[in-house]
Amino acid sequence: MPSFFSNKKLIVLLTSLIVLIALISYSLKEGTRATWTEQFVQDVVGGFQYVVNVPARYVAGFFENVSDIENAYKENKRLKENLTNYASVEQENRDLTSQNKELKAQLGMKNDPSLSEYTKYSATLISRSYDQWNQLLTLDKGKVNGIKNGMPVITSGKRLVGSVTKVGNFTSKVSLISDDQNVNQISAMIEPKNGDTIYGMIEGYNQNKGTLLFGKIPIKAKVKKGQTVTTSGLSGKYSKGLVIGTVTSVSTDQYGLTKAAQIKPAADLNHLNYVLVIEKKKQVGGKGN
Amino acid sequence: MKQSKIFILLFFLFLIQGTVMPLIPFYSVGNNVQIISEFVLVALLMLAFFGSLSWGLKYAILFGFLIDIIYASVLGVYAFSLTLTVYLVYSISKWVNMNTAMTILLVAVGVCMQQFEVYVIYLMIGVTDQQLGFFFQFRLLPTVCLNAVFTMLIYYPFRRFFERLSDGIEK
Repeated sequence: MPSFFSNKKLIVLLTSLIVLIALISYSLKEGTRATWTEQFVQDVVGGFQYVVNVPARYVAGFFENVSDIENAYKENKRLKENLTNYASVEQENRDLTSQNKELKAQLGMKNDPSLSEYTKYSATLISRSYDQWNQLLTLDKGKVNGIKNGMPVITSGKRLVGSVTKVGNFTSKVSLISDDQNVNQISAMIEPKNGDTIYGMIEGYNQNKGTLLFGKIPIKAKVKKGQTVTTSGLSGKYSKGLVIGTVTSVSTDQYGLTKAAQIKPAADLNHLNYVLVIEKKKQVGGKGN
Repeated sequence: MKQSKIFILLFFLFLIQGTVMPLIPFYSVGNNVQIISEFVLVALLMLAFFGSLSWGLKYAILFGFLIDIIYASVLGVYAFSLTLTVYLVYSISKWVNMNTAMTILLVAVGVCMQQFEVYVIYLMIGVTDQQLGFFFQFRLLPTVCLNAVFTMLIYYPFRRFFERLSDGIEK
């Protein structure tokens, strides 16, 4: 019976440990920049993933449709009730839009695109990381289609999903907001119906509860359950007005200096098929006064 | 020729892990349950048991790096842990008599080891902050169950496939 770890094997193990640590520190330092080898492998595998993914999605879509049909009747009933309000809301919206335009024109801001304007690129999900620790998606659009590093990714209804971290030529990787390495950079806000806007930061993701931590809220701010949290556009990375989620509970942080809230993400992060990658429109410099 | 057959098989499982498995609604089983498919690991272990260890280790390094590049954000973690797991479980397998039940048991041990190694490394470098209790209760148990079922399904075809291939390889 050979001994479990002979001398030679011990040396191999130690060497590979050193290599592992070197690689980890390299990739942590490198951050979001993808080397050409990574890009190449990502693109080639992405092609194969696309081929496997299309029929799989088709089959999954069929089963989803069956359960959708069951829900359709109930939904239809509810929507019909809501439809009665639609006409009045639309009219109101039109009034407000024209009013807004006039006011903006008076302020001389007409040519200045606001923070919330952006261009969209639609993309299909071709794979996602299977261990839940890495929350990464692979999309079927890359540099060729105009995707760049750091662009925010949303689903329908402007619900924030994450941001692009590594771009290949034909595919790109998206880090979800539930990924612990991504989240500590989102500047967020709550706009209450009356009162001032409350600013804070999204600081982490709680996997047990499935909620985001919205921290650094001023202690005097009146945060309530059910309020909607959106991006503030202050950080520059995310444009303004993307919906992050709704507040589920509020607490004071451990030092008693600021408040913290738990937020349920608005987008269903487990159930993504199609996403939109958005790019902020370039601001026309020096015009706003 | 034989090499390419093994590669295609493993690559197919690798693709399935990332494209087909996330589409299956496992989260409807329970609220927090995390069921992870480790099909590449299962195939690599079978390759080491019934084919040859050196091939198993080579493909473990190769597919470890592929997983790191495609599905993970930090390089090297899966390459290291996959190779270590395949080697350790193979070392155990030399002490026991290989039959169906034993293989499934060893694969389950391998899946546990793999999950735990990656968990420890990720915890140290701060990729995850999952609690240990949560890890054991909601992640390890269902993951082992899924992969054990998968092993039962593929046991006979894979064993025959690898044994036929290994006839030509000197062990």
